[in-house]
Amino acid sequence: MLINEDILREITQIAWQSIFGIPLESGHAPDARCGDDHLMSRVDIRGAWDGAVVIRWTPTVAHHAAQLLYEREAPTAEEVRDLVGEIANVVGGNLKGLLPGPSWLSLPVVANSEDRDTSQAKTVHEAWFQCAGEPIGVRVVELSRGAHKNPSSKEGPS
Amino acid sequence: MNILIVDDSKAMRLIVRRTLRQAGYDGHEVEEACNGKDAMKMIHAKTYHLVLSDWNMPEMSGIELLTALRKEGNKITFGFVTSEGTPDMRARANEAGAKFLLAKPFSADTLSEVLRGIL
Repeated sequence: MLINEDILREITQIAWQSIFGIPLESGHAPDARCGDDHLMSRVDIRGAWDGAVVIRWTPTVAHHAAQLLYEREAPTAEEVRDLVGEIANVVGGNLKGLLPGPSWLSLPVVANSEDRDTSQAKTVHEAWFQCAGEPIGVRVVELSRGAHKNPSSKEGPS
Repeated sequence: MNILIVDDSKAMRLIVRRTLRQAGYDGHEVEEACNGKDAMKMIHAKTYHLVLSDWNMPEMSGIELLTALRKEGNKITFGFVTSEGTPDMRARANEAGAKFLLAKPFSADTLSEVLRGIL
């Protein structure tokens, strides 16, 4: 695999800086893995390599990110979900370019809990960050070839 | 000039609109569509001079939109703004008639560079 934790970290931080205009600080995995109260945004990469980028957000940090982008005190729940999905899409799209092809990227999916296929999948790389004192975890996981739960792109491989 | 931003993400539409402003293109009329199908309807109803489109969208993707436009003889200036920028996608975009493919994330400087000579 042509990526490593440093590359995952760098791609995420560049995406964040570009979207919000402020740096995203590195952080550490929380002692208890965010508990049940979190949002997951995910995109799948399918093709020569099968995997997913899964970003774990606390509701507080997801809401804070949407406040930053929309410059509003109270972004809607839909705006929050759209934003965290798009961040997964940008990180996933950039990682895809570094992986062996041909491959294609799914549309982002946002959920309140992690799917069984990614929670039980092998973590290939993981990077943690912090924003407003809250953790954000970005994982790259390897998926089995049969796990096609995530709605995938209509596009062919590229 | 009329610019149409096509992206299924409201956040990304806002980011593209904001970056256009930061790049100095704030004197143009900017409108938004949330997928290729909606964009197609809007393009049929009004003249746009530039389409900035995501690639991967539900209903109708960006490449499907561009292909459909060219098929009906529409030569509108079309650029992709997408999270993926593989050489293969760039080649497909070029072959379909796109002027450029800008990979997300992008800065105002990069946007300005690709739009120089277009707007």
